[in-house]
Amino acid sequence: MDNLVGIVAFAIFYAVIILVAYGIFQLVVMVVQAYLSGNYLFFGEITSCIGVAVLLYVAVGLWLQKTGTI
Amino acid sequence: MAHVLVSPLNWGLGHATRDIPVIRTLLAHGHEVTIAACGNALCVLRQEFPDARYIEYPDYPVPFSSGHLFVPKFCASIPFMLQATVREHETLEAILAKSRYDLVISDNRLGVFSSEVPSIFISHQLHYHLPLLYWPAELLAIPVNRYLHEQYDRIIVPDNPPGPLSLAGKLSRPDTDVARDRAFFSGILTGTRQIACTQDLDYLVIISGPEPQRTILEKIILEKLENIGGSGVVLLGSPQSPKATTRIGDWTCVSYVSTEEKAELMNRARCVICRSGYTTLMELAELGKDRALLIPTPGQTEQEYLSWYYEQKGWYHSQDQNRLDLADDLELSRHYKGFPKMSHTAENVKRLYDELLAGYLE
Repeated sequence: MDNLVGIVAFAIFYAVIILVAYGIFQLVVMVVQAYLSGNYLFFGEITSCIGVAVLLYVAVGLWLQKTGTI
Repeated sequence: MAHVLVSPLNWGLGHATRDIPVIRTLLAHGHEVTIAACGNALCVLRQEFPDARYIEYPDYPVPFSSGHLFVPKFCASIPFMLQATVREHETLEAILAKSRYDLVISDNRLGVFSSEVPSIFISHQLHYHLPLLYWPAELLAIPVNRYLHEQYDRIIVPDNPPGPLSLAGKLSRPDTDVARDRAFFSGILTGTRQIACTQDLDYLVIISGPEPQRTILEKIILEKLENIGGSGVVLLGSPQSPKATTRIGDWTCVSYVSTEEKAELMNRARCVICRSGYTTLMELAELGKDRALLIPTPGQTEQEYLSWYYEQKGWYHSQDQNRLDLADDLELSRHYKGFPKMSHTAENVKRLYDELLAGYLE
């Protein structure tokens, strides 16, 4: 029984990793397709969103460091 | 007379060697000690305490990566480590069922705790440090650590309390009420002792750590040895290869030495060049070395943090192994002041016994 629980936990853990990797891949495909098809407005919007999200992510990390939470 | 089970993790020799003064004190107070360990950790403790009882007690492999992929590799190995921890805990229950124990001391072995016997955890990492980009994982580690700490009656932190003398910086900072209530800051604990001798070695280079980084550092150091004046000894830290000594100019390279020989060489050296592993740093503090050059193992976030922290404090100079310019970095290392004065192992371990361990054993 313990082994079965372990196997299920392993499967969920790696499934989540694969799902996240697939999401990132899909996003990259969308950006490349928008650029190649000349849809620069959509390309600009989506890359800006990604840029803002990355900046926000780093800013939160820096803030957590500064406040001594991490 | 009480019976204590001491179980260090076998990820390098650091956990085993810092337990030496604790075991020595327990034996000196007339208690019986059983050491449950595996691999090199077991070998070192067998040499140090030939008359103690031993149990071969496997732990889990080190998830160290060969390069900068430590964090992803570590994350991927988490489920395997959890499974190994559950197995480790089951094995402990079997060990405790065979013999009567009054106290269990686990040095960083996550599955070594009991609900029947008082259990103490030894760790200098109450908080896990990760690079900035992994901050969600660092945040997530706080409740995970809290759950882990709840399994133990007390936590021995081999560091000075948080503040200006803290050697582990944010690593030994208690984040939760559980850690704050249960942490006992013992001060440094190391098996290396100060001996009366002349400091006749200009440099001692200790090349250690997991492969292949150990070999990479060995090549970098050996290529640059002749650029620096003075004499010294290079410990190559490769116990698998036959014991051999070679000369490079005024330098002696030794493939492997015993822990006693290493301690003697550290005492004789005016400057130590080494990895920034916490146990080595406690040894520098114990011996009062005011000059050292630290080279963190690439990808080992703990060593990288400690190197950065000591640079900030002005205690020791650190350099990445790929940017190492031995002559220049050694010159820079002269401008650092070394660790501040702090209490030594003998005093710390006495306080640890009187204020904590005796309460469980007498």
